[in-house]
Amino acid sequence: MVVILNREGIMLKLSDVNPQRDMEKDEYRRRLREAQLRLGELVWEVYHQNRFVIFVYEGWDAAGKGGNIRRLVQGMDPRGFKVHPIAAPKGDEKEYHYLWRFWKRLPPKSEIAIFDRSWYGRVLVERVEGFATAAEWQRAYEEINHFERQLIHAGGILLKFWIHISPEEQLRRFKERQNTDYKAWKLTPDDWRNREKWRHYEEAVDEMLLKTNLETAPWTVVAGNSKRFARVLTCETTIATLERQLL
Amino acid sequence: MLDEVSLNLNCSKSEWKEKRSRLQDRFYNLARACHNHRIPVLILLEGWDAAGKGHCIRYMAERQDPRGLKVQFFPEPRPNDLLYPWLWRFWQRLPAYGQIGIFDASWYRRLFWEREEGRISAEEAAETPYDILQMERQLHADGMVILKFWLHIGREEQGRRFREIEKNGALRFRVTEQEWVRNRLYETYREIIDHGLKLTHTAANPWRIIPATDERYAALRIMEISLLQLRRALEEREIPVVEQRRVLDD
Repeated sequence: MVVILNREGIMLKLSDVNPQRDMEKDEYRRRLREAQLRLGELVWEVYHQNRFVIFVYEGWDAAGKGGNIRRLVQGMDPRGFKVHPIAAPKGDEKEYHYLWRFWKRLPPKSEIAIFDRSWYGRVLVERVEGFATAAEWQRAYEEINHFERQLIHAGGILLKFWIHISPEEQLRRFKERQNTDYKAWKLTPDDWRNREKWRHYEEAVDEMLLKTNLETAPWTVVAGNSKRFARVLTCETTIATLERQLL
Repeated sequence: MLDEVSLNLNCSKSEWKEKRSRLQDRFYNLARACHNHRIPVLILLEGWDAAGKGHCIRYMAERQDPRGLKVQFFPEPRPNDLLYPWLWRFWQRLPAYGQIGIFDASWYRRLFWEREEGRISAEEAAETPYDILQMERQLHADGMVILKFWLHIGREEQGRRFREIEKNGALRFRVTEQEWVRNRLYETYREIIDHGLKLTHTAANPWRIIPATDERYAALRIMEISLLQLRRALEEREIPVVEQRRVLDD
């Protein structure tokens, strides 16, 4: 396991991360388009080599996970990937171990699965809101690591993104959603409540990054105040990882 | 571990007659208590070919509520199973909270048989015990009662049973070249299995070696141990069990 270090060589904490990295519109359009084309090609390489790819997207509410995913897959053949939006467990999912619903959604070889929120919910929302007991979320780090190692051993490529924004940026986006009629549905009382617990979540994320950063499945912390920057970064990081693993 | 067991244990006709229904009734009561308190139970049966897993499963499952108990059979992995991490096919069929799952063969297939058969590589074989221990630990921590049984018979007995099966027209398909190869390599497998049992024998999820030369003895033993362990699990959670004689009968 590898600890993410900041510039001073000390363990990274979210408060160290500057979420403000900008990108000019023209550069954004150019780089995104190139990246999407390349991703479309690499997906075929995944198929031919019978590997599989799993994306894990975590991040603050309104960080832009959904939009990021949409730009990531735009150049990919839709038969080759599936996006799984993850929320609180429902129905049968509540009758099993918490990882069961993710085992169910694993992609077979040659396919790609993208999780919009994931098994990390156990050590994030379930920890902060008390849906999981302390014993449960504390043992979850190792359970998650073992789960991910099995995926890697079976030929999987795992990409994990934490989309990071500042609390000020989050507030700005919440207000914007409130005032935009076709986006207003996205803002719920839960979002405001989670915001009040910002510090608790930050603590949970720091521990998550510390304990689940595997060499074979590392986290990428994405500066997300600029959506353009974030989208290009996730696409280009994906390309670099896939090229390294497949070519 | 296999050496510690005497193969010559059996049960008399009268013992079988006296106990069989009574134990099934008690199992029914304990299963209901587990169901009401959402405790998942996994009864995992491993053993030599023709050791009598089928007989034990039939005994455990008959007269129980079929809505709350499912038997899952795991032959060699199918082509679809190979598209996923190797434990995937087991996660798909685990018992839910409050349910009982009986596994006829299990993830132990990979530990006991598949390396020697050349189905998995050395790296995969090296990771297998660790994967198994981690998985059982996760399930146990989540509240699952896991009962692991190895049904043990001797090499000559196995050969004798194979010959019996081959005489029976309907069931002859069950004994193929592969079964006879395993019988010839009994000693080799015995070492591998003994080693595997030791590696995966933990305080939380121990193995129970069941001498199975007498299949009725084996069935009663497995039932008695299961009853004891379920009772313990309920006591740990301070759940009282109401014993009642089954009025409805077959």
